[in-house]
Amino acid sequence: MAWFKREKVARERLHVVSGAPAVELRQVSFSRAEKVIFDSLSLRLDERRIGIIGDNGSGKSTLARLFNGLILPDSGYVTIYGHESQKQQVLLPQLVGFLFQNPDHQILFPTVLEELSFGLTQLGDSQAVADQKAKKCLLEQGKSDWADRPAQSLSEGEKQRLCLWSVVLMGPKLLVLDETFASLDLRTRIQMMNELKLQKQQLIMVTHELNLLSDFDRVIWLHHGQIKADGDPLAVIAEYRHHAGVED
Amino acid sequence: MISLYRQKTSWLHRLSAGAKLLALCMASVAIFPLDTLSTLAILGLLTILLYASLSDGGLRELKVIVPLWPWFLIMWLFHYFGGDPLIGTVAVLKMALMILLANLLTLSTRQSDLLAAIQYGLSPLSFLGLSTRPLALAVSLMIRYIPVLLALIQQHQQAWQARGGRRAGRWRLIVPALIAALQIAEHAGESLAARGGVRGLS
Repeated sequence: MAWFKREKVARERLHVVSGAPAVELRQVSFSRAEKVIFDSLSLRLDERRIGIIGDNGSGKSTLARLFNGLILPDSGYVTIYGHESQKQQVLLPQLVGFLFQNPDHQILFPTVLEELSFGLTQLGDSQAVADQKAKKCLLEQGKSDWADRPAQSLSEGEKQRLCLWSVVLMGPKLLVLDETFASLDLRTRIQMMNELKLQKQQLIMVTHELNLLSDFDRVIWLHHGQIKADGDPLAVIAEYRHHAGVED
Repeated sequence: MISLYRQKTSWLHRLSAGAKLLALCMASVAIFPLDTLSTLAILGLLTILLYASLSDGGLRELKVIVPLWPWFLIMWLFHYFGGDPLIGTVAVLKMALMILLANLLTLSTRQSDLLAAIQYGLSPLSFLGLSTRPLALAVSLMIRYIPVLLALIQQHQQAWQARGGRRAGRWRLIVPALIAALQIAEHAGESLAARGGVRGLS
């Protein structure tokens, strides 16, 4: 029942440590149910837009969850903008916004406005201030009429938008997307990508949609928890296609 | 996901969450000692009138009670075999009445308003050094996930029937439905953690 205890210490705001990369992994090992997922993986990510690809079970989702402290390494270090995830696990969501694969798994509240304002109250805003900011966000998107709509009444693409806005409202520096657009039709997926391009955050995107990554700055191919290829998107994607048996 | 909240506004939507919560508490206390069928029947009628006053479609919201009939039946049978079917009927009516009244609250109140009202109601606890936000959040999420769990049970029943499962064998769904419910809880927990968890970020 520890979470009932009132926290006496005021929590500080995490700031980007100057010169620190968005993500740095140093000899990270992680196992789950006696299966080794990462064994001494090191990685430094600081490009503006990075894609992560790989087969199912290659460790992509686990890697994404190391970036925001949802998972902590068994050994080694994960540092986010200079903050070690083991020490600042609770505060990392200030810096890292996470979008899940299924919006139904992400949306916690019944109406759009509540979902949007929740993150802001988490950051310390009063409900009134948070509601105001959330309404402003909807106004800017031209969706003021969404405020009192049940989240359930939104289409799949609209739910994804709601998830994106909820996370962006919290002002993160990095957005991590874990196969976020997998369930969307092509048209909505392209719309979402265009909307993402307007965001100023750094972006790490785990995806099976290889063609979404062609204009990214860097693509990493993860295979059995190890980096099989890393670098120029077109080269890495071509190599991955070849591995998957796709003839160009 | 589904929620009990009803988008259309009514006079009930405009009342403050605190007032409705308080009214619900008082109604529960008042209904608890009642033991005559006629009083309960009158209250039942009044409740139905309340639903009807919610603008068009209000009466349809009464259907929330329908899936609960097996529980009512079990309750009633329990009293029947205990030798007092009248007490059973009274107990079932009281239960149904309370559920319908509570449903009026959830369908007309935004969850964050409810959360704020509960938090306010719990505020004396903060003098004891307890934080009320996590507790209020827990209550709020519980209300939020009841319809999700009902939908989950329905999905499992459909999957069971689609593969020729018989009604009588439905008890076998308990374990898989429970596991699926735990998975939902895990997803919700992850989503909450990704936005700062129960303690918040400030």
